[in-house]
Amino acid sequence: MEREHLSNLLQNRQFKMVRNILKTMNEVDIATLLDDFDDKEMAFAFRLIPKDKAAEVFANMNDNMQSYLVEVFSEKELEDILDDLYIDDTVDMLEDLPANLVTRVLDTVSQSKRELLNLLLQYPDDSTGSIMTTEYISLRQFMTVAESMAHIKRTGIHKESIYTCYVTEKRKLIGIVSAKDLLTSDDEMHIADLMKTNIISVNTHTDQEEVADLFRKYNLIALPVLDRDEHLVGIVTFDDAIDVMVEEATEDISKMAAVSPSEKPYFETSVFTHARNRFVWLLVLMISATITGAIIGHYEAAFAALPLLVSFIPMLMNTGGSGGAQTSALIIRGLALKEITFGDMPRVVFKEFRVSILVGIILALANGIRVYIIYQNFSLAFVIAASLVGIMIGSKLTGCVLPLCAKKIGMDPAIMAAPLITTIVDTFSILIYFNIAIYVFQL
Amino acid sequence: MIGKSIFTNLLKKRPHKTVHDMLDKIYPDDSAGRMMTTEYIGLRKFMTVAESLAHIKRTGIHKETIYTCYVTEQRKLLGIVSTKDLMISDDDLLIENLMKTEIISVHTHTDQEEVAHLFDRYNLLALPVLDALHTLVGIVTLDDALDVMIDETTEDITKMAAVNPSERPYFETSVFRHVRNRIVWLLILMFSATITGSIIAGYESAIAAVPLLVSFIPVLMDTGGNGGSQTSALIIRGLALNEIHFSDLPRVIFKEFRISILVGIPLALANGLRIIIINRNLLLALAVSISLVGVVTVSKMIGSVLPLCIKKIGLDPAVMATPFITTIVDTISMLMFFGIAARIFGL
Repeated sequence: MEREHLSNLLQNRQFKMVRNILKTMNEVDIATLLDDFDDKEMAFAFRLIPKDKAAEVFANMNDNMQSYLVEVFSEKELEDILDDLYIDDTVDMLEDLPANLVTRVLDTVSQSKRELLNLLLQYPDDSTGSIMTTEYISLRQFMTVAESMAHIKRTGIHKESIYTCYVTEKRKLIGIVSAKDLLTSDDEMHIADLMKTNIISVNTHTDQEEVADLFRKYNLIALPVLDRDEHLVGIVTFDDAIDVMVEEATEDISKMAAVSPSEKPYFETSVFTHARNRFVWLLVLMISATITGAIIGHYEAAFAALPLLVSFIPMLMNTGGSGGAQTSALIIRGLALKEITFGDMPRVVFKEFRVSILVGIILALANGIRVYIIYQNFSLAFVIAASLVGIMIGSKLTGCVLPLCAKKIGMDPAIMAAPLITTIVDTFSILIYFNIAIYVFQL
Repeated sequence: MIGKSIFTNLLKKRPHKTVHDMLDKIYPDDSAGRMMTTEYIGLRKFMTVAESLAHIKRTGIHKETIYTCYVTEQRKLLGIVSTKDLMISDDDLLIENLMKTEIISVHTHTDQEEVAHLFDRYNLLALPVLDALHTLVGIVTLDDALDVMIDETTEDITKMAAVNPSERPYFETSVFRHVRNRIVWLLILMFSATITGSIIAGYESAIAAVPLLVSFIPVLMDTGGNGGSQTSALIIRGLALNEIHFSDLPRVIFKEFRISILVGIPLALANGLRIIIINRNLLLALAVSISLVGVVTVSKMIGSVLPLCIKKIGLDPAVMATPFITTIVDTISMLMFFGIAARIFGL
């Protein structure tokens, strides 16, 4: 509705009204709204956004919108936007821009900024360097609070975050002062007496996931980034850390469902990419399921003698798979949140063993009684009940051991989730079931 | 100044209780009211920047966050000033001219998930909470919103694996509690899987004629289950991040349909070839391959439609999706497989 209203105003050349509407809107909402417009209209509306908001709106746009704008912008417009755009947002945009447009951007910015951007673009995709910004407030330890405040007033406008200030000496980070401390302390106090020296910091090559963990653990709003020589080179701000947290969670959920994670939202990922992200895992799992099939084929004599045995296969396979998936999901999430580590293996195994005994007995009783009532066959009821207990123990232990081992050897534990666990559990479920059946029925 | 009368009245009646205990009584679980703190920096529109900074210097030390200040008049929220703006603006500028009036706020009863979502969307450090009369009663800070974000994700992952979520970490949850959180869904899944079993039992004569059919049950059931959960996981996550909505249903179905064809055909070819080479049975290869394409297509359709519909009727898609999808997909895949096999083999 908003979209049509604005669209109509644009067509009727009511630019002033459009400008007034945009003036009262939040930057993020403007970006969302413009996403619904076609490219030409979007570029037109973008030019009507008040200047103090334009860069922030631009930073919140998706790749397609950004590259279209960079392409159609005049020299001057591009220069203005790039001037106002924070360094980390600029890097973010450049990472997804086609090569010719990257060149256009780099040709527009100043020599020093170009060198900085080239440096930042070289950091690996998942590293801290690729999400940090180089704009931060740096103070000296001999400055007073009043001098620091004056310094912030002069330079703060171009900094993404001014709420944590960094005290440096010969480019080394020696302390941290929060803006809250500056604002609530006496004007004459020296930074040296105010700064905190127990500093939480990361390296340019630290994995993004680690950075997100630190933000969560210490409730940070910014985190300093050091290079190999311990020189302060930038900071990561909380908004980027939250984006990483959300992305990592999405990645884990995708992997746990046997989908190779996509960096883009569902609709922005093409059908072919979706198919590719899913096909390989389905193929691998399909092939491993044929092993289960082959094992079943091996017991042909057993179910030829007692055809009823076949009809319990889905129930046993599904229950085993679900039991294993429950455990693996809890362990994978626990590993991601660092609540569980490889060293906890014995505790986890012992706990899951007790859980599986209890769960297995309840399931066995419920289903044993059902089978006995329906088929009036005690042996069959016993086979089903005994298999259920065995399968539950096996599946829960598989569900906890595999993710822990994956983590230990440096693989992503999220891969060891429902789909893979299910196929592994299926195989031994069938083995347990038919062996018990053969033993009981003397087949 | 901050919904003071309500609280002081309550405090007078029960002086041994803290304000926080009171808040817990007034606001429902999982609401913004429960997350908020009542300590924030309040400014007036006629104050200057210098006066505001002096005010912060006097009162700021006891506040959880002083980086967003709230401009109120008769307890109504007029505008927001970031402390950054205060620090970089001229001393004699009036707050009125500095404050932002497009305010993102929530209600005391807003669900905490919605609160966390706003922090993520707008990159907020704090979010004002208003009561039914639009009076400013408190703020939610970033650290609490982050905790909610993490908890909600954990809950979704747990529910998608058919476990009732526990509010405590793994080791702090007792064995009995773990059993209780898991047994109900396992019972439901176990009994619903017997439906699939009885479908298979209905094809006993077909199985007797071609016993080999049985060994393809796992392939079809697993592939169907995996195909369905691939889709449902993406949709459930998309719903949680507000990237997908119910109105996207036709788009989702069309997209998943094309994906399932693209994925199903190579899977069917691979499996068909394997059967021809190993079992030297063209009819069997045909039956399994056709079923595979059908099973993948149906499972992806169900994996996309169910979570969207469950969300639409106000239930949690993460809870309902897994058991339903598995059960429905299993049933349909067995019906398809034995139906197609019976036709091809003329059973």
